[in-house]
This record gives sequence, C-alpha cells and structure tokens, in this order.
Amino acid sequence: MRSLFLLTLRRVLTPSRLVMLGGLALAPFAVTSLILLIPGAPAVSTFEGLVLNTLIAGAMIPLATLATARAAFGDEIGDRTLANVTLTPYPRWKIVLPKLLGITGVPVLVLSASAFLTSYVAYGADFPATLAVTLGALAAVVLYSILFMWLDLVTPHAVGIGLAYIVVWEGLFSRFVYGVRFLSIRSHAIAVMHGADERRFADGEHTALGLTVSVMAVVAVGLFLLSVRRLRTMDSP
Amino acid sequence: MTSGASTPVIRTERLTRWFGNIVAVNDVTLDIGPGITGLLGPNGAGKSTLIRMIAGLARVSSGTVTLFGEPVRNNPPLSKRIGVMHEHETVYEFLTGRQFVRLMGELREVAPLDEAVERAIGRVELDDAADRRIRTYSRGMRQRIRLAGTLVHDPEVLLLDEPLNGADPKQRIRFQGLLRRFASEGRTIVVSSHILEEVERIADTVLLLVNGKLAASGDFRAIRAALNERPYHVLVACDSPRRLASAVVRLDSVEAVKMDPDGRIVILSRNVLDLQLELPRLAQRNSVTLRRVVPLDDSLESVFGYLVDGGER
Repeated sequence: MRSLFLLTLRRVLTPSRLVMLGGLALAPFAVTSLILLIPGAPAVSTFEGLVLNTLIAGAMIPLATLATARAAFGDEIGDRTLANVTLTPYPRWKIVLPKLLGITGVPVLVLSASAFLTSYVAYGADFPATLAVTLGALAAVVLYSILFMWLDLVTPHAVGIGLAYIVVWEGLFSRFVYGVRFLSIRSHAIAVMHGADERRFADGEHTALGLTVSVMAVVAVGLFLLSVRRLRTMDSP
Repeated sequence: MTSGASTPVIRTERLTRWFGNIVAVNDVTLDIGPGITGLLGPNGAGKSTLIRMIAGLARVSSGTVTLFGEPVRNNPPLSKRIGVMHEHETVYEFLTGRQFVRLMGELREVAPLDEAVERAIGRVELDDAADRRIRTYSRGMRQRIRLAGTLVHDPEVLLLDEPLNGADPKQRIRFQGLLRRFASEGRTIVVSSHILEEVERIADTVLLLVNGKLAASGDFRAIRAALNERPYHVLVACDSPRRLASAVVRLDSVEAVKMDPDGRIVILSRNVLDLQLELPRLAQRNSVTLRRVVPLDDSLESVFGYLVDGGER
C-alpha cells in the first residue's frame, strides 16, 4: 500500500501539476487582496458569493482536483502502466485506497491552506469563520477527488466530462436550480462552511450540517466502492 | 490442442472475446505446459488479447481460462505466480531502473526484496545502468528493465507479448538465451511474436493464431505435416535437369515442375514424403546425379503465410 501511495504521490508532484495547483491556490488569495485594497470594499455576502462560492468551491478546488485525480488511474490508463498495479496480489480496495490518499494529500494541504489564508485575510483573523471555510474546502477536495478518480476509471474522456460537470452542473445548474443543490459538491461544501460557523454564515438557505455530512459520506463511500468494483471488472490496458 | 507434453499449466476452453462487432479471439481451446511456447500471428491476429485474457487483465466474452487449475480473473493471489511483459512500454520513466524493479517487487510482496531486485537486474545484465532514470534508457534497455520487473518475483509463468520489439540482434540473442535458461528451470513461457524466425529459434512449440482463431498448434514441423493439402516447393539441382524434370512430372506425388533461370528444377508436391523416397530412385534410373535437394518453404514463414492466406498463395 505504501508503494502505491508513494507512486501516486510522485505522479501528483510533477512540475506541471504543481504549477497548476499553485496558480489555482493563489488565485482566491490574490482576488481577495485586490478586493480589500479597493476603497469601499464589497459586503461580506458579495465576498462569499464571489470568492468562496465561485472561486474556491466552484473553480479552484474542482479544477485542481480534476488535474490531480488523474494521477490515480487516468495517467496509468493513458501510459498503460495500470497492469503493473492490477497484477498484484492485493485486493482491489487496497489499490484504490492508497491511490486515493495519494491524490488527496497534496491538494488537501495546498487548497485548504489557500482557503485558510484567503478567509483569514477576508474575515480579519476571525478564527471560527476561517476554520469553517477551511473545513468546507477540505470536504470539497476529498469529494471531488473521489468523484474524478472514479470518472477516470469509467471513461477515457474523464477530463472533458469533468470540465463539463464543473462548468455546467456545478457552475450553472446547481447555482440557479434550487433542487439540484442537493446533488452539488460545491453546494455541500458551502453548507459545511455555513454549518461549521452559523454565527458568521447564518444567512441564506443551506442544507443542515448533519444532513450534508451524511450525504457527502454516503457519496464518498459509494464512489469508493464503485471504483473498487470498476477496477475489478474493467480491462487493464 | 495441446502444447507441452506434461500437465497443462495454462488452459483455455472455447475462449472468445468480442470488441463490439469485432471478434478478437474466437473459440480458442488450448493447453500450454512448461517450456517455451511461441504464440505466432500477424498484427491484429488477437495475440495480445489472448495473452491479456490468460493473465486475467482482460475480460472474456465467453469460455474459460485457468492457470494451475484456478480461474485467473479477479484472483489477485495468482498474480504472484505470473509475470507479464506487455507489448507496450509499461515503465515509469521518472524512476531509475533499480527503483522500477524494486517497485515491481514491492507490489508483488517479494521477500527478501533487495536480493530479488539485484538478482533480476543481474539476469538482464543492467547492473551498470540500474541507477539511471529509465527515461535515459535506449529501447533495448527499457525492454530489459521491463523483463527484470517481470522476473523480480520469480514467476512460474511468463507471458511475454512481443518482447523483442526494438531489440537489436545482439540483444535478441541474449534474450533468447535467457528464455531458454528460464525454460530449463521448468517455467512455462509464452512468447508472442509476428516474426517467424524469432519464434522458430526459441519456441519448443508453436500456437498459430490467425484472425482470432487458433489455426494450428504443436511442433512447427508437425504443423507442416498436418497441413497435408499444402503444396511444398522443392528445389533440385542436378547434372541433367531436363531429363530429370520429364521423369519427375510423371510421379503421382508431383503437381508441377518448372525450371528456374539457373537451370534448377522447382518441384511442386503435395506429398513430400513420397517425393523424398521417389526422387533418388528416379535419378538413379535416369542416370542423373543429384547435387542438391532443398525444401524451399520449410520455415515457419511459409506455414504462416499459407495459413494467413488460406492456401490461396
């Protein structure tokens, strides 16, 4: 398991992925800093809508995890090295788990740090609010990573479908069609943030924290099991 | 069809694989025992698909595959007994050769690992380059490090898909020697290739795959004998070709006789055994001295060409 984790981590830590991850992680902090520099800064709700909801949960995290999740199986299917991994005596879950940990470790650190710094600056060192934003980001990183890892196993067009999902589903439908929010990772990440600090984020209608955590857990476990099943039934290239 | 004299290690029964409307492997039943078995066929014949199904890497549409009597698909413990080398370069270019072999050993839970890694690298004679990154390797070196990765867990069954692609003549000879050594250790080795000479040199037995179907199997000369409807060309050099030609053409075993530009006779026969017996007698009766009798198509290539073209050549 350790070997698979390190192999996956090594694939995550390629220069191109690190540049992309770093660039996306810096974007919310840079935008927030600009907003704060403008005289007559916008209201907190505007900041939440623009930076937290759109930039962090709607763009930075899904785009970064779409790129890093390919290090689990997408790259190996692409360069035909997957058979090296599937021809092992390990049960399939012992292949999926270290790979999942490998693709989530770096984004969890980098993207959560970005969310932490951005909200710390934006909320004037309000620690509970900062922690809430960080927790929301963390939940989103984990769930998006599992989703995109599974997507890589089921289709060779995972990047295209993933981008379409980010733009169309998360960016349009879940934002404007209320019922769809229940099926949106972005909306659940925002719900975690709201639930973790109701004092700061009391406004707006969001799914209750308990329900959102339950849904996220069920989806995460479900996608993990589907990945294990897929790895068992698919052809190795 | 059986390849290998002892108890079969690999067994497929009516193995079929469809990709949409295309049949990649069609109703293949075979047994493979210890030793080197050559899997021969043109590109697209279904060799890689068959190897991948035998390794459990690809699903079967129908039929069964067993290794050591066990189903291979979704049988992770069996992977410790199999070594698979793919046609494509399945290496991690960012690793050094030694790291790659080590990783393959770790993934197959080899113990003691260091010893196994050094032994595998030594077997492919890459000790000097083992600490260089694989991206700096030549194609032949990549093949060898892949073979080391395939051997690190000392598998009983080796499935090698076009292992000599890109290898230079020296590497080919070295590789063939290596395979013979492994075979002498009692391993079951399947080597696929579309190059006939390659298989002819290393394989004890041959499986001929044409359009996804097993066209023939066994010793390649036995395959030739089994193809009794296939015409054989025999070149005869003698001191009086016209006299011999006029006598030979009357034989029942001879279909046609022609003279080549150098004045030698080319005999087309469907019964080469009869011809072998009759030709010296005929020469003696007609006071003709035979200088040379050479079968023109006794190589795998001619058998293969005949099978691929369905006897239309």
